[in-house]
Amino acid sequence: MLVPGIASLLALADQRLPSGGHVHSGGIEQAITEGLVTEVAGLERFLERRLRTTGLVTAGLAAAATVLSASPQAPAHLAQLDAEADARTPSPAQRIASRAQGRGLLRTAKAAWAAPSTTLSWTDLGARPHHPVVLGCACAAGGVSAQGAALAAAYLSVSAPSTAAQRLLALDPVSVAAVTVRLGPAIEQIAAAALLSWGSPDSGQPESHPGTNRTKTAEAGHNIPAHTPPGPPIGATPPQQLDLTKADPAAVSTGPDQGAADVLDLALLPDDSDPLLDLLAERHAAREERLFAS
Amino acid sequence: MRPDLYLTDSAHGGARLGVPRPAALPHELPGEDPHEHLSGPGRLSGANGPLRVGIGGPVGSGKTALVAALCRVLGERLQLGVVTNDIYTTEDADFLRRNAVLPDERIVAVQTGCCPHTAIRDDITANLDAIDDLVERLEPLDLVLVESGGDNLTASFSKGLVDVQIFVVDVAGGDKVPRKGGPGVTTADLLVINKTDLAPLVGADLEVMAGDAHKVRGSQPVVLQSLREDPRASAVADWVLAQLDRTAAVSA
Repeated sequence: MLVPGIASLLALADQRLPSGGHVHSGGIEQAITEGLVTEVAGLERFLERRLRTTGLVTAGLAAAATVLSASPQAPAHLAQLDAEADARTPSPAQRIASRAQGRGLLRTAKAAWAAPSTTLSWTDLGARPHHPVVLGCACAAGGVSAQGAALAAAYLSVSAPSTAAQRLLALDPVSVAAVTVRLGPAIEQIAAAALLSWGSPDSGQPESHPGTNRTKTAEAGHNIPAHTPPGPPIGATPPQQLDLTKADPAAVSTGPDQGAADVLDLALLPDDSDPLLDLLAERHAAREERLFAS
Repeated sequence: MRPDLYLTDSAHGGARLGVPRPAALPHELPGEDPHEHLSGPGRLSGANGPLRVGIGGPVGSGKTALVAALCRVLGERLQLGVVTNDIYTTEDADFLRRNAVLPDERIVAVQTGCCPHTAIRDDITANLDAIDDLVERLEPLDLVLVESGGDNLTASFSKGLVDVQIFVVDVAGGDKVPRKGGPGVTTADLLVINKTDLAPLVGADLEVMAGDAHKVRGSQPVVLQSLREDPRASAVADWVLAQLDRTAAVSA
């Protein structure tokens, strides 16, 4: 096998996966309504901006979920991770949208895989977990590595609003597809940056300080923000390291490189946010007439 | 116009509305996992939940008026919920609430992501979530009506979303519509040709419409109705009740 779980990864990143993504625009409906995005060039700028914030955060959460699925204390660890997702999603409308999509993906994942791992059941996640948390667990179930989970989350942060914009503005689908492809290297950079933030062995690079790693990524020329956050987001769990040393690598169905992290400090997960996206989400949720749920 | 054309179940015009029994039905047996068969109508919720009836059809064909009529008639005797799939607004849900055919909490509107067709056939998640919410809130429910946003003749409901589906076309859309077919007209469990009272005004030939409908639908039933003449949508209401009986018989 070239890449473990690659077929599962492709299925999970497919826009046609019936998990509710169809009715969520990732903020682009409101951006279009307010005249911020009117054509393909504007769409590309919007997508890049969303990738750098939402994409980075969801990539970190999804990758952490994949790793934590293998932990002997997986149910408790994933509950903590879900709270971390709340803390990193200041807009209530975005929290609702993320949980709605998590609920949808959970339904699909339940039908596809019996359980994420031997230490975690789907019901442990609750009825409406955050989307990246479910995505990471589904990756674990499908034998996808944490790196794959980060890639899927980063990719979805771009693909969902791009197809919504295509429908709303009747954009040329070929041009929109070209934009997604052009963002490919940036998507990979973001996924790698999300993993490096907490020194995941899955990142394939030596562990180092998260801030400096983001700087390195930015130096690669992809406009990725280089700032180091002052601390964990308000509402996040106090800095603590989840001890994964008792993690049983065999707990996850396949994927030899999973469950290898000794410790995972959730406070180190990316917490970037974009006030524009938060405001767009809130204004959208307050509307009575809209085509998309978010 | 012969009255029996309003209720026909075959190309050769039976006067009674027939509910054909497919050769094989999804069913549950004691000690056996629920499973589906490929033939016949879609999933049957049976004892596991309310019967789910999809109502689709082109814009303006009278879907919401039919849903309102069914709510008025069936709401008297059944525990009922409605999911609407409006294209842009919550107009259909508002209409049902305003006309007080059901209490507000029994009606849920979902967004359809700029493509109502996809929301009932391809990514049905928003509708499934809405039904789950209704069931959670109002259990026990006997029946959930899922009204699609107005779409075209290719629109059909996923069998993962509804047990049976009704497709509504109207006389004013032209009497060629049944002949043109499309998955809605040909495969729906019930075809409703609506607004028959308009036929003389728009020059539509109801006999041609009924005949063409039966030609493309084989033995599947067709109802011709006018809600002006029959505000209780009697034939459709009877058909829905027959589906409920069938579900009960299958899951018994």
